[in-house]
Amino acid sequence: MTTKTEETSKSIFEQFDALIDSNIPDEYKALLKSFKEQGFFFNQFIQTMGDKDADLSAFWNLPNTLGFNNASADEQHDWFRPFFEFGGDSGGFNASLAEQFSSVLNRVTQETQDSLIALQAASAKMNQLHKELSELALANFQDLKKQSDGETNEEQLYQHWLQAGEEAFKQISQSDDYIQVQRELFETLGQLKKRQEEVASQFSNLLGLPSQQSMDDLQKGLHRLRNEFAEYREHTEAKIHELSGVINELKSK
Amino acid sequence: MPSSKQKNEDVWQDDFVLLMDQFSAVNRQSLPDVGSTPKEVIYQENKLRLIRYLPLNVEQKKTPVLIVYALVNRPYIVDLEPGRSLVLRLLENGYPVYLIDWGYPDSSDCFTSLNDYINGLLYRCVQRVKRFTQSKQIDLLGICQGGVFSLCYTALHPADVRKIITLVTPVDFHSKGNSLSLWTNSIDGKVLSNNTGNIPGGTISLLFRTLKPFQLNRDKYRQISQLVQNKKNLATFLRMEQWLNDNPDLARLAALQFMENFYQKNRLHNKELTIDGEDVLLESINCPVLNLYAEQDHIVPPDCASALSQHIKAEYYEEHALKGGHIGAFTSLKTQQKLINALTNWLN
Repeated sequence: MTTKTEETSKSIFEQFDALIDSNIPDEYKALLKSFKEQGFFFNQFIQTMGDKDADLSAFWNLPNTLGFNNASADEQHDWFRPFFEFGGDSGGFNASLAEQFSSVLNRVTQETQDSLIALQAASAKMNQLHKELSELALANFQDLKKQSDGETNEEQLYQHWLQAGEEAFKQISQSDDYIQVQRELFETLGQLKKRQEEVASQFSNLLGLPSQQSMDDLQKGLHRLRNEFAEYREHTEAKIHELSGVINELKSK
Repeated sequence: MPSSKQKNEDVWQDDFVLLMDQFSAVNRQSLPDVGSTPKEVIYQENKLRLIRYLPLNVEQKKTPVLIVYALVNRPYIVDLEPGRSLVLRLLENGYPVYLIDWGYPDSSDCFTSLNDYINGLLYRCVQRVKRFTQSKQIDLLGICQGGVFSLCYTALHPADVRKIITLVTPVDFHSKGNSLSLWTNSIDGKVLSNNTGNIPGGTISLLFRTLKPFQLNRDKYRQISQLVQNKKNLATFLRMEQWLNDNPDLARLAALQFMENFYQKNRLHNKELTIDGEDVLLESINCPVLNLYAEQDHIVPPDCASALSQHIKAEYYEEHALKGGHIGAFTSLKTQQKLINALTNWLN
C-alpha cells in the first residue's frame, strides 16, 4: 500500500517525468500535465485557506487560469497575449514583438512605437480589470463562506471558489469597461498587424519576392477555379442523372 | 491521525498514480477510437467529404437525413462512441444518415465565403444525397453553426428540404447575457488571422474556454477519481478531450462574414441578411421545423436559440428544451434518449 511520504511524492513525480518522456500520445501527456497542475492548485488552495494573512485573490488570477503563465503558454495564439500579460515597463509580448520588427527592418518606425505604447496602455487597463476580477471573486468567496455558517469542508470550499470566480468573471467580462478595453486592445493590435504587414511588404519588395497582393490574387484564382470545376462537375453529373432517368423511362416503355 | 489537508493530498496522489498507471498500460499506446460507425465517402470536394453511414439491418425510412455540423471543431462529435452516437441512434431507427465533414481549411481556402459554404458546398452535398437516394427532398439536421447554415439553405432552396431540425442553433445573437456576442461586437476579426490567412482553431477554442474560465480550465481536471476508477468513463473523457482539442482553422473570409453578419449585426434575426445578393428570410421557410436547444447552454443560450419561434409559422414550428449544455445535449447518456425520441417522433 502506498505510504504518503516525501519518498512517495518523489516516486510519483519520477513516474510522471518518465511518462512525459515516453512515447504515449501527446494528448495523454497534455492531460497528465493538466491533472498535475490542477491537483497542485487545489492542494495549494486548501493549504492557503489555513493562513489568515495570505492573499487569496491570486486563486482567481485569470491569465493563470487560462494557462498564459505556464510552460504550455507557447501554444496560445501570440495575438492574444496582451490580453493576459503585462509586465510593467515592457511586457514580454511587447519586447518580443519589437524584436521581431527590429530584426526585419533593423528599425522600428515611429508609428510602430506609438502603436506599442497604445498597446501597453490598453494591456495595463486589462491587467487592472483582471485584478478587480480577483478581488471581486475573493469578496464573493467570503460571502459564500459566511452564508454557510463556517460549516464548510474542503469540497464545499472548492465549490465556493468555483462559484465565486465564475460569478465575478461574468460580472466583470460583461461590463462596459471590459468591452471598451477589449476594443482598445483589438484596435491597437490591428494597427500593429498593419505595421507588420507594411514591413513585410517592404521586405518582400527588397528581395524581389511576390507581394502579398500577388499571393492573394493567386489564392483567389485557385479558389475560383476550384469552385468553377465543382460547379461544372455538379452540373454534368446532374445532367447525366437526369438523362439516365429519361433513358430508363423510355426503355420501360 | 492525518490532517484534512494531508488527507486531501493523499487522495490526489493516489488518483494521480492510478491515472498514470492507466496511461502506461499497453492498451493506452493510442487514443481511443472516435467516429467508429461504419461509413463510406460518397463525394469529395477540396477538403470536404460527404459521408454516408452504412445502414443497419432494420426497416429503412425513405427520406435521408443530412447532418450539417459547425465549421468549429470536428463533426465526429455526433459519433463520439457507440453509446453516445447520435448517428448510430438514427441508424437504429432506420434513417439513412449522411454527414458533411468540412475538413481542415488551409491557406488556399482563406477566400472561401459564406456563400461558398451555403450555396456551393452545402448545395452540392444536398444534390449528391438526393441523387444517391433517388429522393426529391431531404431532411436537414443542423447543429450549432451548421444549424444556421441549414436554416439559410432552407430559406434559399426550399424545394430541397422536406423537414429541418436545428439543434443548439443560435438565431438571436444579441439575446441577453450572450457573452460571445458582447465580446465580438466591436472587434475587427482580421486581427485574429494567422500566417495562413485563416482564423486559428486554437484561438476559437480559447475563446470558448474563456466563457467559463474557472470551470473549464481548472475544475474539470480536478475530479479525476471518478474517471480513473472506471475505464469506460476515462475512455469517454479521453475521446471528449481529443474532440475538444481538435480545432480546424476557420476559412478567414467566411469566419469574418459570419462574425459580422451574425454576431455583430444580428442580420438573420433582424431580417437583413443577404447571401450572394439574395435575401435570407427565415419567414420564407415553409416546411416543418423542429428546434432543439439546451437549457444549460453557455455558448448558445436558450433565448438565443428559441428566438427561431419568432420567424417560423406556428403550424410548422415545434421546439423542445433538452437538459444539459451545448454538447451534452446530444452526447449525454441521460439526454440522448429524450433527444432521439423527440427526433424520431417528429420525423415520422
